[in-house]
Amino acid sequence: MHSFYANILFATKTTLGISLLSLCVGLLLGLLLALSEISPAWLKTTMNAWVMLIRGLPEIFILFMCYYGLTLLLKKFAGHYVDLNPFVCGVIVLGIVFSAYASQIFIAALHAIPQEDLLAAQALGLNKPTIWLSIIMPQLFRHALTGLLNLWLVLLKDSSIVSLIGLHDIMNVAHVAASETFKPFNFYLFAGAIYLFLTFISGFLGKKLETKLAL
Amino acid sequence: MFSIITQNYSAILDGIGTTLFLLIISLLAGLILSVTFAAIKYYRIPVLKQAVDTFVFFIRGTPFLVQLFLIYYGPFQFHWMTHSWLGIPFKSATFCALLALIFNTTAYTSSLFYGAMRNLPQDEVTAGTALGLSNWQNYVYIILPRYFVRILPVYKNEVIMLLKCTSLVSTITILDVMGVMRQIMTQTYQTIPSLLIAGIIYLVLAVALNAVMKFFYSKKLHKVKNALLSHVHQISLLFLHY
Amino acid sequence: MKKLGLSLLLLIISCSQFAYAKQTLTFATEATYPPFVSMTASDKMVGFGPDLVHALCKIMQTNCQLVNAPWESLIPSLKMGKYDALFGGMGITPARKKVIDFSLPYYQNAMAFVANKSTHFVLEPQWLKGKTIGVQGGTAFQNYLQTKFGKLITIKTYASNMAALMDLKAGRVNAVFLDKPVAVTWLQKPDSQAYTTIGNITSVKFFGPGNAIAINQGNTALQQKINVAIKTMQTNGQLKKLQTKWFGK
Repeated sequence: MHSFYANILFATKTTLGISLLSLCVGLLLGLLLALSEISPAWLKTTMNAWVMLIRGLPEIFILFMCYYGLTLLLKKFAGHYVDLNPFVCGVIVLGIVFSAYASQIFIAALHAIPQEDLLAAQALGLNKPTIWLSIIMPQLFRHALTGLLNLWLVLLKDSSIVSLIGLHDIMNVAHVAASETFKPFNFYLFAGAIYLFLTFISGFLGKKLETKLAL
Repeated sequence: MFSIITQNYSAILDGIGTTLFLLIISLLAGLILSVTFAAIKYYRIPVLKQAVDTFVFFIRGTPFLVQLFLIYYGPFQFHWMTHSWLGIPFKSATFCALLALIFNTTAYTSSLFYGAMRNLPQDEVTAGTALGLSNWQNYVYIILPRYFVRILPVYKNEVIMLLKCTSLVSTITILDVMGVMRQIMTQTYQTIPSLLIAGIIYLVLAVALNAVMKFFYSKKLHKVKNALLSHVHQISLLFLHY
Repeated sequence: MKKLGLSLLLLIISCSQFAYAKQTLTFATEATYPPFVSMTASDKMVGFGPDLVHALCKIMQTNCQLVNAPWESLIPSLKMGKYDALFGGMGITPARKKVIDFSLPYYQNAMAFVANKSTHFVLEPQWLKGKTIGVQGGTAFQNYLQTKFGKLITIKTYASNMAALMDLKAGRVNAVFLDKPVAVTWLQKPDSQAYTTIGNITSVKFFGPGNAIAINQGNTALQQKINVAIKTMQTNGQLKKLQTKWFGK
């Protein structure tokens, strides 16, 4: 009995791993999508349509599409079978979903950067990469922080759906424990408590970061 | 792909019906609860406020899937539940799904409403009180219509989120759109076509819901708002008269 | 940022194992089928299936990897080439034969219902009428119920047998229809005493000639290798031994 609790606790590593990796992928993709704001019109339209599409589809659908469909597609392109295990699929899907929402936050943050800062930087003769790295990026993240924190909490909880394609995360292990022992109340409650702990800690650390970086 | 539709159209239609049923019921119930919970927080009603805060903390801190499984499988770990009247509603998977969906939408929307209430211009709120309206009247006639009009563009997103959330109830044997398509998938092994049909249905539902809400926002709600405001106006005239 | 992106890409690539030069065979199952296959609390796969696969692989002189995956993903994944073979309690059913190939059967299986003793379950139309029966989705069981009693009963499908049995305990279904050995094993659990099995159903038409290892369509090389190994186990008595160990017959 105790061993099942230990298994669930141990699976926290998987949940955290997949969530953190998806966060990185999602942030990068989100920034790229946000750049569409300053790119040619056709690209902007395509990106917008993509973001709308992802936001309109259930995560479980995108996950199944990745797990079954993307594998088939890869096989066609690569000519041989390429394995996408549940973990990789989870990272791809959670990352893509995160990026769709994050891009909106980044775009809003981009607009919040005072125009004078950019003008001043240009007047100083800084080149474009420097302006992006040292003027725009830091401000962008500060403006986007609150929104991104919320998205992180959503991501952390959404990661539980990857259990449906067989990733041995908190949810999956709890489900196995519940059906093996017929103690569903105990095990799902325990799983819920771990998620609650993770979101609580995230919120706490996020608030700290927010006050530290406060504008 | 078309053979899947023609062979299973009645099951697919049932699935769409189930999805819409779950969505509409949980939206309506969630709306009523959210308005109430937001008011409880706004007026800082003791005990109830703490209860609402705890509820929101627990629901927002845990995944929907955990809540769903806890509600569906959890109660019957306790033997007495199987025979008690308390267990009767929980025997219905639809009831469990609705409960989880309502909990979720309420936790998110009530926070949304509460935030919007706090951002209302104070003079509009105090004006109602000055006119001698009770807290309750003030809330229903003045605060509610005002913040609701403001919040609608954001609330729209909440509705789409809830629609996406309903797709997870197929994990507790409910044959909604996702459930029906998953069943067809396991019977015909036509995985990708079945999934694509599900995706298209969800997309169409999302676009349709979006359009409906937009329509409401542009046309109807302004009428509703004006009607409510004129109602308030009449009441205030009445009060002034006395 | 670029460096981070690059290292991430590398990480993802290294996570997805590329399949060329694969020497290990991957056998997948859904491990909620004791005594066929199940997971222990210490996350180990045990049962008749794993024992059989290990023995087969020893004869075939290959490395084998056992994977636990959701039931509904098994056949699609096999068809895609994600796994080399499927094992566990999978019967050679006509529906499955259309999409995948099978080895020789290694076990003759019977099916049964599980119900609470107090409901006095009898396999007759009068009793079944209006009842709800739980079953794992995408199985021959579902087909059987649909064809035989489809008009009388409501069929509820589950992702796994265990989920269906959980609902039997919750009282949401009147009975569950599944493999008899799985039912018998479940009845041995300390809190399953109120339940019993009914029936001993065999039907080649629905459930095929027995349980077998599933392989992708056209993978005759592996099919033959496995068949030879199964025959070896039949002749040297190893198969019988395993059957007695797990099914007690």
